[in-house]
Amino acid sequence: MSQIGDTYVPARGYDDVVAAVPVTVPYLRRSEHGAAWFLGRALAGLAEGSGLAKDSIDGLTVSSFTLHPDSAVSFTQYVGLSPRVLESIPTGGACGVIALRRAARAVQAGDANVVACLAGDTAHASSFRDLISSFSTFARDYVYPYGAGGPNQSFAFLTDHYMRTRGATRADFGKLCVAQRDNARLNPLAIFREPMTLESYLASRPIAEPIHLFDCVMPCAGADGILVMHRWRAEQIGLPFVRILSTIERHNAYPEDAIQMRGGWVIDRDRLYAEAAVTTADIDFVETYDDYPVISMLQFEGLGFCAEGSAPDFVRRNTFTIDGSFPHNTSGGQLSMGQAGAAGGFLGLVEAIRQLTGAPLGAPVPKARIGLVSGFGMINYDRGLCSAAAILARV
Amino acid sequence: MTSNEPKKPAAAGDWLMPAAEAAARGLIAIRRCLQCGRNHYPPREICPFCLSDRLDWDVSEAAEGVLLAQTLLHHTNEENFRARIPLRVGLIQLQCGPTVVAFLADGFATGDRVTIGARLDERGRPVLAAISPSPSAGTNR
Repeated sequence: MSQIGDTYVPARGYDDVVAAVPVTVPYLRRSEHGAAWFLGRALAGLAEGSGLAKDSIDGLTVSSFTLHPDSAVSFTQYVGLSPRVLESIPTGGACGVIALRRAARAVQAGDANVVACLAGDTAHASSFRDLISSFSTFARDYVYPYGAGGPNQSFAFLTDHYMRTRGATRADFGKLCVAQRDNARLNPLAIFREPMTLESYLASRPIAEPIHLFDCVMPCAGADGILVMHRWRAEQIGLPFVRILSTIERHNAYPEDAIQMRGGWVIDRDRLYAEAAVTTADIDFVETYDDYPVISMLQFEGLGFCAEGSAPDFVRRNTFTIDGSFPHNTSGGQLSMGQAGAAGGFLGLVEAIRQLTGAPLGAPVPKARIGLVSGFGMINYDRGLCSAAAILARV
Repeated sequence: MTSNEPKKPAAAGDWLMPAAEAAARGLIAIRRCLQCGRNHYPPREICPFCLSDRLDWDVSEAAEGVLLAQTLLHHTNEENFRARIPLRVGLIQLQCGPTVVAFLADGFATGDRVTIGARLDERGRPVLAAISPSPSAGTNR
């Protein structure tokens, strides 16, 4: 059998395709609305924010867990949209970057003029249990029967192993959580804005040891969206926008690793930086997928900000607030804003676009020119399967 | 069902029945590919190594492995586990290759060798549990 893929073939750049109009339908702990309402409000926000008529949107991507039994297809009828490109993007925490990739290529190829990328979910009394109890066959039949811990349980294994082999302490995780909460202080959409101290982090109750309450995101309802289009169109209608320098995605990386110690970023990061013609030193802020602080550490390593296994030391040597040495999760991240299902995969993307267009929800990162957005999604059995990243630039 | 009656496997896809029937007899069934010979878990109808669909089950009383990681659950999303919280669960790499999630007793340290057995849970699903630390427990801590 022959293998291909050893030769580096650079991906085509994104030319003048841009991302604009970051929209957030405010997150709520519980909602009586269905997922279609949240997605529909995000779509309305995109139309309103761009001044474009609904019918000008001829491409659509949809990411949602609670839209079922409806789909991206049925959603077009629900909101009366007739797109000529339609993508359902089921990659959870990686869906934002991946939606951006799909949309940008559709616009670049001329398959669509304006693509609306949407992610959103509702949350009611049983929706979280319904979701995690039947997340996948592997999760349902080979993890959930062992105590029904949900994602906390699987991430507890990774956290336990990471702490033991890499020397990370709860105080290292706490430092990231405390910094994110500080970043949320000025963000009116954050569910949690009250200050968190390292002492309160360390004192939070155990959930799935070594994971404690303040390591966990709050499941909630909400939606996010962006528009992807040609630069000339954004300029014509006067929209602030960001350039897409490069993107990567990878699924089921390193299946031979007995327990997850790294994600797919490791395979693809050289491509990410080379195609953007930047290095890690050029990145002014980073938005990681922070469903648990250990996963942010895997992203620091995987994206090359520090060597594999050295994130605990990296955390000790840096500060992660907006004005810190390594501005990270500048809106407060999911740990402060909540996890609105698939919208969690968009949270870093909309924040990066806001920072780079000078309109953050909270405080701005001083002189931010280039931002990196990372995604991590879908803990299917014992590990998260999807990883993705994008480098975006201010115009 | 009273506790004296033997548990019956819950209805499952036909190809999964051997694992449930083995668990009902207290045996562990791990999927093995007849083409490349490798074991995998969770069970599939396609080998993740060579894509063959010629697969069978290795059925035995127990499987040996090493504890990779563990968690103590203080929170559950299901009523039937409430009374059993806190509950210890482990991730174990079996000697035959794959990694399994299994119930764990207290007293195991990460790196310990563990022996894994199977049974049916109260819903008739096959579940794995560490039977006991093997005699050489304590190595490689």
